[in-house]
Amino acid sequence: MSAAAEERWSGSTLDSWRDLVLTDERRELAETVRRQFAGGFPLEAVRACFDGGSQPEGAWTAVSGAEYPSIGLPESAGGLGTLVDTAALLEAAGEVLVSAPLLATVMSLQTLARAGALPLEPARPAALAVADGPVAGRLVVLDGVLAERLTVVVPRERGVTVAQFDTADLGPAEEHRHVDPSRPVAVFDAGEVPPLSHADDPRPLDAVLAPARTALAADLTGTAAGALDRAVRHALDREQFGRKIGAFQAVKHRLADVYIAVERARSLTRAAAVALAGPSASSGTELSLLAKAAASEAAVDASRALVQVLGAMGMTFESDAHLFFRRAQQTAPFLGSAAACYRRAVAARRGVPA
Amino acid sequence: MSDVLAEYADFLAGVLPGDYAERVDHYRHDDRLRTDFQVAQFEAGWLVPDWEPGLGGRSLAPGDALSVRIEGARRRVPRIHNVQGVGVVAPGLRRFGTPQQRDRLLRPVLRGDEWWALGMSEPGSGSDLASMRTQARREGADFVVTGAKIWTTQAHQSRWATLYARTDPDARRHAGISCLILDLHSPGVDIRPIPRAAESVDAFCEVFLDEVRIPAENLLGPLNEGWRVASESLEHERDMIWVGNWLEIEQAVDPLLRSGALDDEQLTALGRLLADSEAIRFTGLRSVFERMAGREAPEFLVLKAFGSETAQRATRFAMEAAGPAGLTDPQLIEDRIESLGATIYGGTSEIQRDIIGERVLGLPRNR
Repeated sequence: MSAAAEERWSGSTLDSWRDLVLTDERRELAETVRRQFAGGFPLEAVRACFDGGSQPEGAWTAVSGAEYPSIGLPESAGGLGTLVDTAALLEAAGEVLVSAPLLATVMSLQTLARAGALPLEPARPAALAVADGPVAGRLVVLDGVLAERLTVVVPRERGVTVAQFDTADLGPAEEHRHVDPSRPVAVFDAGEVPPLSHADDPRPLDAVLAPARTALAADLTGTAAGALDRAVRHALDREQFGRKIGAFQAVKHRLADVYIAVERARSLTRAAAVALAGPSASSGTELSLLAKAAASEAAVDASRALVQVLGAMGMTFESDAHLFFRRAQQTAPFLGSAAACYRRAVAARRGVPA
Repeated sequence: MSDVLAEYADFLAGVLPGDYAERVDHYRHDDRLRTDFQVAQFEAGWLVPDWEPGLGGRSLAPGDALSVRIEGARRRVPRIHNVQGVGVVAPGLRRFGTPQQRDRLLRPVLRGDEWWALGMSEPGSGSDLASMRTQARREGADFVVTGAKIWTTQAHQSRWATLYARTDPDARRHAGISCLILDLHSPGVDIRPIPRAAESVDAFCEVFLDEVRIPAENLLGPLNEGWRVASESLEHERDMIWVGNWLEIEQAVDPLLRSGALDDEQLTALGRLLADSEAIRFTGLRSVFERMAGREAPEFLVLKAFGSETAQRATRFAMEAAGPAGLTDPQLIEDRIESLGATIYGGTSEIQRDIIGERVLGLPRNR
C-alpha cells in the first residue's frame, strides 16, 4: 500500500478529522451570516436583480464590512481562522443565496494565498478564472461584474502561473445576467495585458485550485440545503388527496434522496477543508475535486426537486424555486463539471496527471 | 501511530499467520482461523475494546475503540462468524440481562463458543416488524410460545436466539412484545435452512415454534418492552457499522484504480464511487464526533441506504469493468449477489427513506 493510501486508511489519524463537526464558534458564524443576509438581503432582493439588472446596493459593502473575505486567509494578510471557517461561512451564505461577490472574492483570494508571495486585498471585490491554454485570453468569470481584481490561473507544462489583473486594465467586460442576475457572469479578455503581479507554482493545477474548489463546493452545498429546506416546507404545507403531500412516498423518498445528496456533499466539503487546513493536505486535492463534483450534483438535483415538488408554482416568477435553480445552474459549471472533477479525482488518487 | 494502535498491531502480529497480509483472500474462508481469532481478541481485550476487561474489552474511550475498529478493517482481520452474537446480542445481554443471564451467557457469546440467532422477522412481518404474531403465554414458571420466524440468520448453527413474541395479546403494535432467550435445542423448535441464492449469502432459516416452553427467568429486559430491548441492543453497533461498508467499497474499487484500461465514462463512474466511499467515511466520522460532543447526529441515518447502495454500485461496476473475462472469476458474482442483500436486511432501502423523511425531515408518516 502506498504511503498516501496508508494515511487514508489509517485510524491513527482520526483526531485530525475532529473539525468535520462544527465548533460552537463556527456554528455561531454560520448563524450570524444566515441571519444577516436573510434579514438584510432576503430573496426579494435576489428577485429584484431581474428588474434592476444589478446586485442589490449595499450587499458587497455588508460582506466587506463584516470582513468575511478575510476569513481563512493567512494572519500575515490580516486573515483569521482556516479554510474550515471559510467553508462554514460560504455554506451559510449559499443557503440564503447571498447576492454579492463573496464566493468569487474568496476563490480569488484563496488561490492567490495558495500560490503565495502575491498581494492580498480582501477589501476589493475580486474573481477567479482558469485559462484554457498557455495564454489567459478570453475568460468566462463567475460573479465577475463587480470585480476590481481578477486572478487567472494559467496551466504550464509543469505547474501553473497565477496572475493577478486590475480589471480596469482589461477593458469593459461583457456582462451576462440571463441565467442568474444575482450572480452575473462577466467575460474578460486578458489577451496581452500585463498583470499587476504573478507567481509560478510548481504544483499541479488541481492542487493549486483545491482551496477555491472547496469554497465553491461549500457555496453549492449551502444552495442545495436551502432548496431542500424549502421543498420540505412545501411538502409539509401542501395538501392533495386529503393528505400532506410529504406523506406520499413518491415525494418523501425523493426528498430523502436529496438529503442524502446534501449530506454527501457536506461531508466531502468539510473533509476537503479540514484536509487542506491541516496535516492531511496530501488528500486535500482529491477531496476538493470530489466535493466540487458532489456539491454541483446536490445543488442541481435539490433545486430541480424543489421545482417539481412545488408543481406549477415552481414555474412561476414569484416562487423561490427558480432562484435556487438558476443559482445552481450558474455556479455548478465552474472549475470543472462534476464528470470532469470525478475523473480528475481518480487521477489524483492514482498519482498521475489528469 | 498512537500507543493503542501500536499495541493492537503487536497483538495482530502475534496471533495472525505471518503471510496473512499477502494471502488475506485465502484466509477469508479459513473458519478455524476466524474462530481462534475471535477467542484471542476476547482474551486480549480487543474484541469490544470500549468494554471492561473480562468482557472482551480494555475500557478504551470511544474514539480509540473506533480507531481500533478502523485499523482492523484496514488490515482485513478475520471476520467474526456469528456477527450478530457479538454485535447485537452481547450488548443487549450486558444492558438488560439479569446477573444470572450475564454470568451464564455473555462469555460464551463473546468468545464465539455459543452462537446466537435473532428471532425477529416473521412470514407475515418483514418490513412491518411490529405486526408480528408469534405468541408467548404465561403458564406457571414458563412462557409457552407458538409461531414462526423467518430469515433467521445462522439459526441452524446457533444454540440460542433472542426471540421476540407477543406477551400481551391486547396491546397494539410495538407495545406488548417481549424478548425471550430461547434455547434452540428445546422441544417444539423446528429449524429449516432456506436454500440461498449464492454461497456468499449468510445462511438463513425458517424457525417453527410449537408450544415451546421457555422458563420465565429467560425473559430479557422488562415484560412487554421487547421493542426497546431490540432497538437499544442495535445501538452499540450503530456507530461502527459504516466502517465495514466503507471497507467493502474500497476493496471493490482498489483493483480498478490500478487497472489502466478504463474509458472516460468508466473513470467518471469510478470517481463517483470514490466520492461515495469517502462520503460514507466522513459522514460516519461526523456522526461519531457529534455524538461524542453530546449532540444528535441525524446525518447518520443516511448511512444504511447510502452505504448499501454504494456497495451495490461498486460490485456492479467491478463486473462491468471486468467484461466477459470477469465471468471466469467466481468471486465477482459472489460479491455482486451478496451486495444485493445489503439493501434488504436490517431495514430495506425503502424503509430507510421513510425513516429519513419522517425522522430527519419531519414529514408525516405514510401509514
